[in-house]
Amino acid sequence: MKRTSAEPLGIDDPICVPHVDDEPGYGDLVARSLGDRIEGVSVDCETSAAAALETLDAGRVDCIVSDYQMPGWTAWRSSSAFASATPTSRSCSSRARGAMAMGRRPRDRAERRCRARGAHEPRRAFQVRMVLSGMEPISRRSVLAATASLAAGGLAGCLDSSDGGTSTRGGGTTGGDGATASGGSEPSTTPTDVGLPTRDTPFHVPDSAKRLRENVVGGGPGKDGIPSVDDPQFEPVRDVGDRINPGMPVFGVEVDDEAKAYPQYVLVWHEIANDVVGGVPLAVTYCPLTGTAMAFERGDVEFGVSGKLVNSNLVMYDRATDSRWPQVVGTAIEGDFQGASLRQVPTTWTTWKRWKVANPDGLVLTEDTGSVRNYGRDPYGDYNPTRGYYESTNFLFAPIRESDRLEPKAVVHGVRSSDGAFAASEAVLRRQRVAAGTAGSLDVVMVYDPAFAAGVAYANPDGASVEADGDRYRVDGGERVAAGDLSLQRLPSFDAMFFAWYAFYPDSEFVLEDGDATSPSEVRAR
Amino acid sequence: MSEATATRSVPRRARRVAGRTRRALGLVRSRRDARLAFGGGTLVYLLVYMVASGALSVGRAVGFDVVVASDPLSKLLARTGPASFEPLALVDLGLARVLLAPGDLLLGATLAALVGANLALTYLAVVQPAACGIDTGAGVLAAVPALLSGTACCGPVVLLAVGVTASGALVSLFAWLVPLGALSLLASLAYVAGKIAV
Repeated sequence: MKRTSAEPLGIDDPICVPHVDDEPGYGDLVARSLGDRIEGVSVDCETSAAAALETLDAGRVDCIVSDYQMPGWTAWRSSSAFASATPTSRSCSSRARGAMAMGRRPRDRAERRCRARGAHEPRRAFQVRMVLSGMEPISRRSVLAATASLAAGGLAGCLDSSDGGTSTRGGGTTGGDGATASGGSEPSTTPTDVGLPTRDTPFHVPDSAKRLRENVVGGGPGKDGIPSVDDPQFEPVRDVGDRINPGMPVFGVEVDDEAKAYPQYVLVWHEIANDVVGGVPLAVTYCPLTGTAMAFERGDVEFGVSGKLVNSNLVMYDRATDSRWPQVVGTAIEGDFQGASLRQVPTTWTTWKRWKVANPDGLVLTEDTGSVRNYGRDPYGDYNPTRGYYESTNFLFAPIRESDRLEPKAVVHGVRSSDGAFAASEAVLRRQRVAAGTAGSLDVVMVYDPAFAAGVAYANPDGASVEADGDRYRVDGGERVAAGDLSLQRLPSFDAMFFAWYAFYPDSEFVLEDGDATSPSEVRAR
Repeated sequence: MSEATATRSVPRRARRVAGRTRRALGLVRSRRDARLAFGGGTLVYLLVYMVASGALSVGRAVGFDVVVASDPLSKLLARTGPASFEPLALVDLGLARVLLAPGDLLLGATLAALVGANLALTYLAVVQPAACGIDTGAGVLAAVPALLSGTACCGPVVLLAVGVTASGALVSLFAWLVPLGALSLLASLAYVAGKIAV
């Protein structure tokens, strides 16, 4: 039964979804997919442009799913026809691989976009996993908001399963205004829906998501042009032999007594490894241009390289919703998860020699990544010794802001909380051994770990005294312990090039010179 | 000349240029010295293009080995940059390592053939000129944009070497280097062909 456009949607009215594609099989798959998830959806399959126009003219259409290029039918024609058939509606669009869905959403944003672009704005591609991941039954109230994305997700899943597993490469694009494909202000997907663990309170991010989005640039490679390692292979530390030079950087992650190292010379070509450490699914990420190695809990979701940069930092995307996550802030600036922050796991940037000594029973990422690369040749420079981009003062892309308080590529060790950030020069920390400060309302103490030549950060809300004693430390005069074993809550801190840290966190409390390295007691006394 | 006549003369001129270029290329085929110039130019440019794009690296001892990417057919058309493709295999040949990406090879070979043809026609224009005093440098210059495109595989890192900070617009330009380079090579081919006594 078709309703007229003027009538409001009743609780028992079917949700009308014409599917336009000259391949009839896709329509059946979409109908089944939507029918399994939503009550009362009615999918009409139209295989010609004429039939599609007739359907649109005949009655109310709540959402249209369309092949955007077939005989007599294009994306523009679909947009125009939908807009004409539903003049009081507000159209949004979402594009999956080779198709698009248009549904309802706030008029002003959609219309502004249509007028500016002259056609629908392609949105992100959704994976069928989102549809089949066991979403809770959707209420009738939110069904219109979800229809566009669900329809696109079902279609993308059908196309992905038919072409054999290339679903994660090269699909979709993202609009620039950060609006979601769902209606109104409610996101169509939450992190829980797709099994992505996020922080209860997001990380502090001084710049607005809009500001960061405006400063996103293309880095050269397209989406997944730098392929993530999705099936990483490892070998025991003792079997590595001379494959890894002792002085080469590795990024170490330890979870529940499982220690894994990710050599920089491999990860520089992939930037993201979707792995499991100690039973915890993690995305181990590395951005060569900002010198940041960070690990995030990823749950059931894989992350990929979007090919975009902000402040020269890698912008990741999640393969569930194509939300965009700059690595340093660990917070989505676009997409369904905008504003949410990933849970970060401490990562140690050290050398292979040091890691091997400390973790003789650990595992190391091999070059068997599924991709073919000239491992051993760093496209940006070298770390052993430091050369090329890592040594020069040049940026590839200008950051949002700059500071001359430190050399741009000098390393700082930083940590952020929900309301602030704190960073210390790695060189100062190495000399002073202890640096204390605040990340917003959180008291922080950093110590230098001689075993790894790396910084370690702890929350120190009680202002316990922390003093170096040889190559170890004492907390409140207690027993000598290693830098990684202080009786304080460890924080997920990380190294970064100063220019990148400052670009993202200009309001940080900094320890950049020897005199700045205050003790916890001095911090408490402020 | 009326507008109609002028309009009709454009395709006629284009056919004339195409015919002249075809004849000049036929001359390359018939002369051994021109064939050598074509072959040499093509090979050298292809090697330089492969080095610039990272498909060929020489100097480090890598042994002898062949490694094939997993699920190579699915990666056939996958791109790593605006003008570079995902390699499907790695071949170690002692002191040289080659990354085989069919897309890159096809692109590089096409551009190299255009460069070779330019070189051969330039040679003929010198030894068999239609007139004296021509500028034969166009073919070489036309090869430069296409060569730069080979560095776009990992982002415009080449800009770092010259200390230029990139911008979104500049990065976008890299996507155009190959088609622009190919067009300029074709244009110079037609230009130089007109300087040969065929």
